[in-house]
Amino acid sequence: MKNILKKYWFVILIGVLLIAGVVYYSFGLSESGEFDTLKGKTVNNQDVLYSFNGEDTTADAFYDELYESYGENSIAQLFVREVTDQFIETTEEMETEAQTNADNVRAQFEANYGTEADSTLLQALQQYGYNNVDELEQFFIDEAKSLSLMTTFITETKKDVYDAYVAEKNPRIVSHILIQMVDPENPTEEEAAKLEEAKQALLDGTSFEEVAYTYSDDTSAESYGYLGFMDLDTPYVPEFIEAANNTEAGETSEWFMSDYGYHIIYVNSTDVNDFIPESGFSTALAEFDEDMTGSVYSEAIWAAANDLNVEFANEELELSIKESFGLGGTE
Amino acid sequence: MKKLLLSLITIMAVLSLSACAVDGNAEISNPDEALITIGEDTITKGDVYSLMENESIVPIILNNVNEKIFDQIVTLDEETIAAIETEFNETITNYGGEESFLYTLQQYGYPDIETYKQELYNSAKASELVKAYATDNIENYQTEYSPKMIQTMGFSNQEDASKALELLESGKTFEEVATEMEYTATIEPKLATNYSTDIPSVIIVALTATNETGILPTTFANEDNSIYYVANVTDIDVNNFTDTFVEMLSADSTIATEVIVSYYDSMDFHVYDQKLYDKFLAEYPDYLVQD
Repeated sequence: MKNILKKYWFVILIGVLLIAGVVYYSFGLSESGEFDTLKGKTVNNQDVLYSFNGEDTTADAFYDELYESYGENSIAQLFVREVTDQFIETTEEMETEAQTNADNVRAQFEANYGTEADSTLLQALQQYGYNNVDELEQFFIDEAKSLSLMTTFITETKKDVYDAYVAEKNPRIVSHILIQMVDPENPTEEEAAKLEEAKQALLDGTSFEEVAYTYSDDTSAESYGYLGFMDLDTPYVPEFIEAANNTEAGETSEWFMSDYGYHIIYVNSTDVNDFIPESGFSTALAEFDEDMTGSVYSEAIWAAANDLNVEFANEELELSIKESFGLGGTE
Repeated sequence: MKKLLLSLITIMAVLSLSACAVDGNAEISNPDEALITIGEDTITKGDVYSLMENESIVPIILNNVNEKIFDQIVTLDEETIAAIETEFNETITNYGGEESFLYTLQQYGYPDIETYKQELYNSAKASELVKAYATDNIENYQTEYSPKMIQTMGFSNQEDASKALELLESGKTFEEVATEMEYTATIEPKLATNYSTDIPSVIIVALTATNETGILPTTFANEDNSIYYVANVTDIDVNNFTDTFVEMLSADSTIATEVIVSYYDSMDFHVYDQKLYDKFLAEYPDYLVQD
């Protein structure tokens, strides 16, 4: 025995140390209450999630139940992320911008929610299919990639359609100030004075946004006059459509009259990159293109997926994902 | 020697495993099963399950368990069933038929009309469950709530209230005084408890000090001195107004939770997954009844 101890003393020492470590670790967990928090249960080789009145509900059964309500949407979220991630390369610019955005959001959440910042941020991220607050940077990278994928799809795959759409419908993003009048032909003194004040403020160099916020009677005043995307088919009054149509990006229209009062329009942008985040644009382009059965976004994702060799576990799953993209029955 | 080393390694492995095993982590059986392969990456069942777990799963489980309780404990009578069916059919008619009603329901996240109907039944069963429990335990609640039936009249000035009190103390009934003073609001007896919010707190305090029926010997002003009351205790025997009292108790969400939780306890609700346990702890701790 002595010889054995002499010969293998090092192995035995390591073994004893390991056992001591394990015992110490277990004791620590037990003391802290972590070790005895919860015991799992298995039935027929399946993990039990909970039981009630002697009846076990397994994780598998619960998966099936959740899948009925949330499965399609969850898979679609994962599918979009994976396709976008593989189709668009992550650039340094994306990473830098994502880091800046994430830092800003974290600071904002900390200022607004204090100690609850992380949990509130997690809840927000979970709605987009992310499981961890550390994924905030990834969220912004994915957003940038998604935008890039859409731009690529529209300006390359659908270039002809987009050019024809721009030529025919003259899309733009606009802001607006309205000085409302009961009878614009015969404004009251108060209405006329307000109009003059707004005009003068713009002439004095006050920004369009600030004048909109201060003077506009339109609901867009709260958003500093921002109305967003429009094209020739947007259901605005004809005077509005005409003025917007005749104003270039970065310019302001003349004041003009409609049945609502006096308006002035600022054209924020006519750039496709600014159109993409606007839901109205996606709908308008999809309506313009007879070949599109889903939204521009769905078409863009699916077009990218087709380039990436996608295999579904079964046909039923493929159909349900296509349906969730509004592409049911198409190749 | 080999045996000794082997034994040592086995002991170490067993101890290590027992210490590090992730207990209370309920996983699906086949988390690595590929659902979609995109290029070299796969979306697995485990990925989907992780994402779905972010949904509000605790209310889903509570709903499942509650339904089991209702099915086992509560049987609705024909009258209640008929009332539910009538309400259901009228709702559909009011929404212009099944198709448009389904469209509205879907905006609120209902998958189909049957789920809505089931909710009506569950709601009625929950109410019955709480009523039955409240009736069985009415003595306990009586001590806590001190239920009494009272009549009140409220006036916009102290003079009218004092005059009303004088008339009542002279022997006239509440009804006679109401008529004489042209008081038009209802003077029907209503339930007053220690927790009533529709009765000024000064009256509630006065009621705790009385154990007999009759006119309270003073007038009462509400908090901003805008209404002056006189009050009459018409009944202090809860046996005479059990239904009213039980009805009030069954509408109390704290009591409803207390009742449901008592069944979770007696029918042994037990969570085996740490993540789910933590969610219950954060959102619905009352329902965690396991040791």
